[in-house]
Amino acid sequence: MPLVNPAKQLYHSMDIENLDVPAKRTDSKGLLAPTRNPMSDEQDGRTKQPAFKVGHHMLLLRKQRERLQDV
Amino acid sequence: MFDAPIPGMSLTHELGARPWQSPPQYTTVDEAIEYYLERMSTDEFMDQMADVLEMNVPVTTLANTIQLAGVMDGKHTVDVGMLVMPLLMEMIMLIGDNAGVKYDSGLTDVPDNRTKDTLIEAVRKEMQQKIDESEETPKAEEVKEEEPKSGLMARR
Repeated sequence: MPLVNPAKQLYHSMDIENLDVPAKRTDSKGLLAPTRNPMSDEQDGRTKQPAFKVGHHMLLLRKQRERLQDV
Repeated sequence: MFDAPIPGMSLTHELGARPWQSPPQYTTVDEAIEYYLERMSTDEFMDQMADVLEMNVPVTTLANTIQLAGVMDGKHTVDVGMLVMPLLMEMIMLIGDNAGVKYDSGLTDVPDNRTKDTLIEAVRKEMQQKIDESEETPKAEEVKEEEPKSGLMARR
């Protein structure tokens, strides 16, 4: 049985073009501002997923590559 | 083909004797990413990687080899390796772009039309062997004389 390299499928399945990184919330800092638990601020815990973290890193590297190709 | 392990080969050592049979050094994807990015950011690694990319080794193959080596060294588990692999590919491609190397990403299905040097060499050797063989064999063709048929049904 030939050895299969899954790298190609894994790379394509990351789909980092459609990875939407949630923007940081800027809550008001007044004394009467509603207090919010920052831990519960996550959108269904998506950003904690390992694949999301990898995708986020990939996005940064991809941007760097695109910047290099443009120059 | 003959590099494949023999069935039962994994049982020839004590359990835990191999690095991948003990708990991995980096248990999370974050730790594995940090380990790889730090390792791949060194000048020595980048130079070596650029050399390998120049040899037209696909990025997919390199990434798989690197993560497999990590598993065999007991750095992380196979599943963490699978998760990290796309990042390794992106990093390798970044190194290639940074060094200005034209590399093969290994992501395209269409094979490039360039003929590999190894293939040319193999064909050349085969042709040379055929030429040598044809020169060695004597060219004299023996003409067989027909023996006279002596059977009952033989023509006269």
